[in-house]
This record gives sequence, structure tokens and C-alpha cells, in this order.
Amino acid sequence: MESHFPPEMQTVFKNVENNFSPWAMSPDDRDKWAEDLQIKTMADVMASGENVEYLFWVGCAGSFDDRNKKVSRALVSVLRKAGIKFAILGKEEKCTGDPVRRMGNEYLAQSLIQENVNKLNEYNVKKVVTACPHCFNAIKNEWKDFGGNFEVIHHTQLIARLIKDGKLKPTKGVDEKITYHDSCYIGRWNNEYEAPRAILDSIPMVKTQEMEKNSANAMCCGAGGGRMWLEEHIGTRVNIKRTEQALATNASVVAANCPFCMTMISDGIKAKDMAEKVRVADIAELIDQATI
Amino acid sequence: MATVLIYAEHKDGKIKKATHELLAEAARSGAEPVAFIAGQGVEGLAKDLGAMGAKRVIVAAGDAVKFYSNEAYGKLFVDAVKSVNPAIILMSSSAQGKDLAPRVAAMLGVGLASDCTKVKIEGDKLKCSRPIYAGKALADVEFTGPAPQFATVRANALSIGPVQDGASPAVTSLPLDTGALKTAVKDVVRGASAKLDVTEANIVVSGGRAMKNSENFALLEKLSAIQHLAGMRTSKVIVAINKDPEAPIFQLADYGIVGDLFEVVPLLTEEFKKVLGEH
Amino acid sequence: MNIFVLIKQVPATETKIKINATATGIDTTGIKWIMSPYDEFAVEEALRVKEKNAGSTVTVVSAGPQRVAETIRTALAMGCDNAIWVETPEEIDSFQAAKALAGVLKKETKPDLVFTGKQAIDDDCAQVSQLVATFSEMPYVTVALSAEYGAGTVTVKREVEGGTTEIISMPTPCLIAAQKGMNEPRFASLPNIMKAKKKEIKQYKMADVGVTDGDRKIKLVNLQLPPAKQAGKKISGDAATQAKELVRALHEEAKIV
Repeated sequence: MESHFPPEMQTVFKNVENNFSPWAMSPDDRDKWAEDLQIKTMADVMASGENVEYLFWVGCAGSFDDRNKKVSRALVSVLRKAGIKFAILGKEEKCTGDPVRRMGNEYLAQSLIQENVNKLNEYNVKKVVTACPHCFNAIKNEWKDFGGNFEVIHHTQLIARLIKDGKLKPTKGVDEKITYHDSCYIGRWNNEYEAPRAILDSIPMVKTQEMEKNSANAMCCGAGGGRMWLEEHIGTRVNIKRTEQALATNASVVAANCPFCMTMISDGIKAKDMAEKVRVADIAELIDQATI
Repeated sequence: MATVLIYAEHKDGKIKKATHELLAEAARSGAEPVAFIAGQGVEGLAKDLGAMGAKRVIVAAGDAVKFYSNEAYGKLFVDAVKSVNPAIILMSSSAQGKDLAPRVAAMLGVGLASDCTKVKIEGDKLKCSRPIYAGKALADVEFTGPAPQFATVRANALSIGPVQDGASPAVTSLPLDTGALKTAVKDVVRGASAKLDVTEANIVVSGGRAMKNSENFALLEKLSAIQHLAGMRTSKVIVAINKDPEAPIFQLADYGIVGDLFEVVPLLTEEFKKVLGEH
Repeated sequence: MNIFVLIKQVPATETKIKINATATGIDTTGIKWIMSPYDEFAVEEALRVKEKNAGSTVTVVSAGPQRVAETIRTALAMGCDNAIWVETPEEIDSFQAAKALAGVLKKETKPDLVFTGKQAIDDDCAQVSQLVATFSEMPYVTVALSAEYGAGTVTVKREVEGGTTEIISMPTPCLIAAQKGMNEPRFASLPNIMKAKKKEIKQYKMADVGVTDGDRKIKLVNLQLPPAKQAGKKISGDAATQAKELVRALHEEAKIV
């Protein structure tokens, strides 16, 4: 039995194999997003003998995609405001393998997972926070088969908890109408509908408006299952459909908590020529904006 | 005085600009530039080569060499090398040059410096540098084998020189002694867009998704029609126009305008016309 | 048919280039090595011809130091039948590489077809294909976009500038240097990757194929990184002001108008 991959898929496999990310970018540049932020790496932490509470798993999008690098930086700002001690893997971080596993390349996915698990165990990592739901789902639910047993929390879950505990105080108003787009891997797959909404409700001046299809009924942005990397040749593009649903709320901000949703919906807004009226913001960015 | 043998290229009855660049460098260095040209009906181009700096021209003309083939043109060029006995050989790093030069190098048993972006002839020696790793690094070339020193040169790496109308170079005809050929050119198919090849163009104007439809490209065509440029430098300049100040293209561009292209481009076209009108 | 494909192992395309201590090459610490991308099209084309001609074999050949074995196995995993490695020092030039590869072709069963990639993405010399063909007295076509194979003859579509293509026919044995897009290289399947780990690679020393240090014609020296690109200038003002200022800058500073 033979497999046939569309050509664009092969490029992703090749990049993940050679560059440890789906992009044709040098793994040497993986931590460039954090250049001026002086974030400790797990290697630094291990060498100095100190302790951090969390490994911040940045993920490939948060490391290499220009728009999502801003989200990574916003999360760093928020974690620091809340006094959370964390470190990153930096150049040692490799793709979790989620996109290639979803696309069927078990061999490549498993070799990546094992390498990552070994690395995390080497650094005695106990808790992981990530801004990417795909990384979240992979590390939380799939890595235990490879000896990776970690306490994994998504950034919106952590931020919601920090607000509840008073460690983050949203005091600055954000005067926008916001509609929240449930990412599949946080929503349907991992049953978290409350935390992101609680965060938005805690920000002064925010007015929220649900899309018709929300929570368990939310529609995918179109990027899951590896489709972020593939062309669509038939019918209406999924991201356009979802964007139309978001625009129907007349919100000025679409709140996302996933780098792929961020990309797909931003693209949809540009395609609909609404980029001057509507923007996509990650929840971390909104909280950063609302806190001192 | 060293002799520099230059492989001349022509298209649609004109000598290519890249050939002029090579002749100009040879002339500037004080060497004796000798040009080789092959093709059908190219006898008439010998005086153009002379005007561009060739002191001698070796012509291999005839129906048998109407189409380029590395076998035929390679054999004839090697015959020319043997008769001229140059210290240096230069070819343009064009499709033809890239295909042919290594064959010639093998036949002569000499080394070849490919696709050089820096070239200087010093006496009978070639000082050249070439990009490697897709231009991520630059290397100088040391020739450790026998003469002649041989390089292919990227277009626009050298500047052209003055044109001396009325020059009359010494012209030699080469017998078309190609021997039995194995390759046969069946056809040459021009591209669907019979427009100027990008490497010959001085300015490339490109439009993205914001253009929305093909009618709007007419705006860009008006801009790119402005071609009367004197004293072109070899440096590439990138100008970006985008409504989004964060657009990644601004990281690449030498000059950036944050604005609406439908507003800016027509104004640019007018400004270009004004500046060029002054010349 | 007896088919050969010549490949080169190179640093992964996105490798950050660091110059080595002697400035004659790059620092190879921590480098991920891959098959030069153009060579993948060559391997794929060789395999397709094999599949259409019962009883054919594909032999992959590569010259280089010990590390190239890994890339030879990638070619085996794609489906090549036999493998040959010519051991050479780290730094050799195109002339030596081509002489070594042509030397192998001479020693092995006479090839009907030889496939290569049009250039290797490390030194970008784009010479070895033509050198090998000339040393082997075979006709060649480089920058091949596609090829059709008949009895004892090959017709190749070759890419030149300006969107023009040439159609060239030549008799076998001949050499074809693949351009990007010649085909879609297959992905090595897991069973084939496993099988390839156990396959034997025939080994030659450089001297066995008549190549010496004295055959070196070109040395690359004084390697440098290009000067850092300066940040671009953003031109401000309303559209009319921007247009005026841009043209002034292009005229007076960049001097291209």
C-alpha cells in the first residue's frame, strides 16, 4: 500500500525533519523572538541550580511567525507581571510533531516526540505552559505514551487562574466589542470553554458578543488536522466562512487563543477587506493591554 | 599585453549587454580583448563587438550553427581558444554560459570559476569572487591549475564601457569543424509572455494580492514603461508600497512607503516622468 | 537499462553559515546534512525510468567523506537498487568530484542513462554534471524540465532565460541534469527506510578512480559573510510627498533613475 502526499505536504515534512519546524527557517533563529527579553533557557537554569515553576513551551508558530511572535512576547509580559518564574528551551525546542502526526507521518512524529520528551526529562520539567493549543494537546495527551508525564496548562487557563487569585489585575479598559473564537483543541477537544471567556469578562469596558456558532458548536478556522499547510481546491474556504460568522457579530476584535486561528482569521478579514475595521488579538495580548 | 578571449552572446540580431560588460572589463584592464561569436548570420555583429572593445573577432557563422548546442559551440570555441591562446577566458553566467563553460573547461583541462559577482583582470591574472550557499557567503577564487584562467560572470556584475562607432576589429572566420554531433535541437519555444527577460531588465515591478485583478496591473505597466535610464548602477534597489506598516516586505525593502498603491503609483509615475524629462 | 544517479550531500538549506578557522569552508559543527534538493529530482526521475523498463537497475553514486553514507541511504530508501561511495577529503573541487564520478562510471557496467541535479546548493558551481558528461564522452542536457525516453534516445525540454525552452534529443548513453519541478520526488516509505539501513554500499578510494590532489584546479579562499543589509528607509508624508521624496532618493541617493 502506498501513500500519496500533496506536494505542499512534502515540503512541511522536509522542513520539520531538517529544521524542526514546518517552516524553511533556520533552527538557529528559533529564539530570535526573545532576543531583547533576557529570558532564561532551561540550560541556564540547570547550570545555575535555580528553579523555575514552568517551562514556557513556545512552539513553532510562536517562534517563527511574525504575528505570533508578538503573542509570545505578550505572554512573557503577562507572566512577569504575575510574578511567574519560567524558562524556555530556546534553540533546543523542536516541533511537537503535531502537524506531521495529523498528516500521517508517524515515523517523523514519533522520533520528534521522543527527542522532546527526553530533553524535558533531562531538565526535570514538571509543569508546562503553552500559548499553542496544538502543542498543548500533543504534550498533555500524547506524550505520556513516550515517557512524558507533565502537568500541562494552556495560557488562557493559567491567566484565568491568575486573575481569580488576584495575581493579575486587569485595570485598564479596552473599549472594544469582542467576539471570542473557540479554538478546536482548547474547546471541543479539551473541553475548555470557560477560562477564555472569564478573562474577557474581567477586562473593564469590554463588551462581548458570541458568534452564532460558539463553544461546543464552534466552527473550526480551517487550519486543524494539518490543513494549515495544505491548499483548498474545492468549495468555499473554511476560514472565509468562519470569518463571515465573526464579522456578523459586528465586533471590532476577534479574540483568539491559537496561532493557527490567529492566522486563518486574520487572512479571512483581509480577504473580506475589513482589515481597517476589525483585528484579531490573542487573549494574552488583550490582558497585557489591560494590566499594568 | 595579455589576451582575454570573450564568448559573445547575441539575441534577435543584437549583442547582449552582458557581453559588452565583459569586453569593457578586458579593455579597461589594458588587455587585448578578443571576441568569439557563433551563429547564423552573425558576421555583421563583428563591428558591434569592435565598437564594444574587441580588437579581434573570431566568427563561426553558418546555417549549421543556427541553434546553440554545447557540442557544436563547445568544439568551435575550443578551436578558437587553441588559435588565440588567451591568458584569460570570460563567459557570461547566462543559460548558455552555465551550460557550456564546464564542457569547455573539461576539454581544456582547466579550472572554472562559476557565476562570479566580482571580477578584476590584473595583467594576465583573473581576480574573482563568487557567492556560495545561495549568496549567504562570498569566496575568493584561487586558480591552482594551468592557464588559461576561466570564469563565468554574472550579468550586471561589471559595468559596460563607452561605445566606439566606426571601430574595425580584425575578423577571422573559423571553419565550422564541429565533427559529428550527437545532440540535435528539435525546437526552440519562446515563452508565452514575450516580454523582456528579468535578468536583462533594469527595473522589475511586481504586484501582489492588493492588485486584486489584471486590469489594475495596467497601473504598474505604466510605471515600468519608463525605461530610458542612463548610467545604471549594478546595485539592486527594492521599493515596497503597502498599507500595513508591519508588512514583512518592509524588512527587505531599501525604501518603504506606507500607503495605498492606487494613490501612490500614479503619482510616482508622474514624478519619474518629471525627473527623466530633465535628462 | 543500467541507470546511474549522481548525488551530493550538502548542509540543510536553512543552515546558518559560519566560516571555519581557515576561511576555506564553513564550520560543520551541528550541521544537518541532506541530499542536495536538485538531486532529489534526479533520483526520482531515475526511479521512474526504472519502473517503466522491466529489468532495469538504478545505482546511486556519491563522492565525499564518511558522512555521505547517510544521504546515500536516503537514495536507497527512495528505491535505488545499488550504492557506490567514493571516499574523498572534506574539500575537493568540481574537477576532482567529476573525475571521481566519471571514473566510477568507467569501472562499472556501462550506463545507459546518468541523472544529476543541475547544481549542488552548497558551492552552487553547477559544473559537475557537464564535467562528468564530457569526461565520459556522453552528450548532456542541463536544466532539464522534463524528458521523454524512447528506444536508445532521449528528448529533453531544457529551460533557458525569458521563459524560452529548447527541445533537444540525444542518443543514449547520455546525461540529464534535473531542474526543480522536473517531477515530484517520492517520499521514502518506512519499510524502505528500514531496508536501506541494511544495504551494502560499495566503496572506492579516490586513487582507485584515478583522482589525485594534483587534479584540483580551483580553491575557494577568504570566505566572508556579506555585509549586513542596512535597514530600509520609510518615507513619510501624504501620497504626493511620498512619491516626490522617493523619486528624489532614487535619483540622488541610489542613483538608479
